[in-house]
Amino acid sequence: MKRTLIAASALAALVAFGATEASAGNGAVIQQFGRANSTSALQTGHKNRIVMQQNGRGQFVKAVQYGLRNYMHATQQGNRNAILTDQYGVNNYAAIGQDGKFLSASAVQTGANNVVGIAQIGKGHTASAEQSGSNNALGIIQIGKNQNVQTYQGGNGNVSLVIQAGF
Amino acid sequence: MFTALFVLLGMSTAYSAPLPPASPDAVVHCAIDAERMGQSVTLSPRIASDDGVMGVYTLAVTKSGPDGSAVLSQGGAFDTAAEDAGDVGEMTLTLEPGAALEATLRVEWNGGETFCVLGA
Repeated sequence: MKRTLIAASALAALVAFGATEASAGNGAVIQQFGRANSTSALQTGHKNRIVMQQNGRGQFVKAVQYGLRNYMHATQQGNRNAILTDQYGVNNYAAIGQDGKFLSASAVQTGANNVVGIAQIGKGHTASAEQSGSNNALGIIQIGKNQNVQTYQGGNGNVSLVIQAGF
Repeated sequence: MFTALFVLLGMSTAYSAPLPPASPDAVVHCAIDAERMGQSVTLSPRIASDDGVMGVYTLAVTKSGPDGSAVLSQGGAFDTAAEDAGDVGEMTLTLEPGAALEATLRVEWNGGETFCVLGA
């Protein structure tokens, strides 16, 4: 049960991400509003931090981080949005939140101490997470109908939590 | 409610991965523990042997139901002689009324392979 709570903490971060520690490394904050926006971000180094927010329809996010202590937070509100994240390094942390219809989220983590949290609200969503390394924890919650999840964890200390609830 | 389905099928399959040698007579048991709580179920792979055996495991789970479908996979190394040998992974997922779940645990070591199946 304790280990399941670790995965659940990844989801909790979607609510409380503003309380994370200040980063002395790379930081990026991207906000987009409107229709058919896309954004991409690449960070390498130490203490990488990306915060992305999109509001609208047909949005796309791609973010890649290499290094130590990677932190990523991405949120989208609207329909037919997609988020892709890749993290390579140690202490990878990704939190993804989406609200709308026909949403897609994909998170890949390679390294050690991997944590992914994905929350999707609406219908027709797809969430996928792939973790390779050690101490892998992922939590995915989907609220709505016609949801789909795919996960893969390879390594030591694998914990996954998937919640699907229709309404 | 606590259920565990234990299916053991011994197979002698050559395995080419760089795993340490195991006793030719080594017997490895596997099981999938399923702990049901409300509309969720927690699956835990269990691997045991009277001999110290190292190898790799894969737990594959498919769930389909009115609220959605899920395909989950976990894999990694195990060592039955390790202190935490019985704690190789864990999956928790919702299992709403009308949902079906199938889990397969495949265990491979140098000189053998076995698997367990859980259906609910």
